[in-house]
Amino acid sequence: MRVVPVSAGDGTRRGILGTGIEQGLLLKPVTYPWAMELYDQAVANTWFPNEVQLGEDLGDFERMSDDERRALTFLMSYFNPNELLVNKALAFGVYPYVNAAECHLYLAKQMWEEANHCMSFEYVLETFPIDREAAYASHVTVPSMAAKEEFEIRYIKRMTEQTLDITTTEGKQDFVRNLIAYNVILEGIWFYSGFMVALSFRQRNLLRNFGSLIDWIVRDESLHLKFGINLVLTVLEENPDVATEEFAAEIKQMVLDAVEMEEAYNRDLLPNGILGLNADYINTYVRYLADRRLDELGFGAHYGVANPAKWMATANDTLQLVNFFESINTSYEVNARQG
Amino acid sequence: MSCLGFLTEQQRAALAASSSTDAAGVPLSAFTSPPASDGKTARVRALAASADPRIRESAALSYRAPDDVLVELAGDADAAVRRCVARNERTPVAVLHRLVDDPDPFVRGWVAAHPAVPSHVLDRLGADPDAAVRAVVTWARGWA
Repeated sequence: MRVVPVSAGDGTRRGILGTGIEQGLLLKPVTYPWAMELYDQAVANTWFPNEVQLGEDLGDFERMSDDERRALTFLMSYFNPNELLVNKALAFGVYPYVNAAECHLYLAKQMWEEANHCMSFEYVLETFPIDREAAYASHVTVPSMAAKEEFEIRYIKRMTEQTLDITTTEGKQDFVRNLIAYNVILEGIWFYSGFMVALSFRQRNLLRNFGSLIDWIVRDESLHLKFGINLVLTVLEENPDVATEEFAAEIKQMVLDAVEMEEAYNRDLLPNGILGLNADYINTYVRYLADRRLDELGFGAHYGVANPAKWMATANDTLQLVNFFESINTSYEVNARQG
Repeated sequence: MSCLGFLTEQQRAALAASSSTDAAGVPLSAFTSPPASDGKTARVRALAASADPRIRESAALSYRAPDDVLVELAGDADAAVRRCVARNERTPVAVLHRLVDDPDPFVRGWVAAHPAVPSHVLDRLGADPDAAVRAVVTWARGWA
């Protein structure tokens, strides 16, 4: 991905970061073709939740064990509000500071997709007999949840309550920090940990249509990740003052800290395992994911673990992120009480 | 992360109220999508003709793809596009029959995983030379 800041026509050079009404209003010439391609792909992918016949899964829901129903409830309490949180992050922490019209187009589509995901989880809540308050409250008593929430609160407060001065190195670094927190960590690692649990129902011949809904959501998320990573890399390439060794070390540590938080959370939530999964299994997948994100950011892998879940196999093309075809290999089965 | 940590007491009370039996009976939305139209079908046809295989994949996955588009994409040079045709839950059985002999084992695997796959097709794929395809058949037979 070659990035060439263009002349603003007044002798100055502009890059992907910028604010002000006079910028980002002309689509041509496209400066960042990767953003335009992602917009085209996102538009082509457009789907709606009611196209999935979720009601057909009600029979499965009735037959599921209490543990399995609790797992589904827990997932809804996690995903539903977080889609809206990501939307806030995009609106306040990303869109206002990006200069290129093609990036704005993609961000507008991504924000619609977050809304579509929120409504998809709403569709689940209103199709299955899940108590909404119980779903939301299921996280409150989990100690490690507070650490994750505190982490995200720190960044969303900065995004919603402060205006960044992106003409300064500090402002640009704050922009990148916010993007890492929301795009790479929340969307790119924590969400995928949840997707693994969500898709494990289908592995056990349960909730087939719910699995299809998650497939569509993951398809969108793979593009969100691609955009976010490209945005970070472009900012770093265009602003050499940002990518100091100290800052790079800080970003890498953010990701490693996020892995620790997620691992603690999974141990708290899955002490006995559910759905053929246990905390160790999911946490190995979390480390695998973190390695991929670190690799995409240019750091190289840190944990060096293999993907334990072939059914969450990734390919070089992240559009093929979920391939449950490989899941049917019995090696994915674990004793839920192991570890 | 439930985001309960962000909510005020008033918002938590509103959440509790929205979970009450009476409130829960009123759906938030009709969850309707825009109706199918000739324009939408034309759009899928245009996507299917794209030079970009990633766009053709989207056409192959579309629930609005007409049968003739799915037939055409079932013969796409790009295996990833053909996999999307096999993966599309609305792909008709006649197209699945065409894909059962696909050289790509992932295509054959998605045929085996298809909700409408006929039992005789599953029987045939149960003898597939690829072990992963045979494993998908075992899983597919697990649906009641």
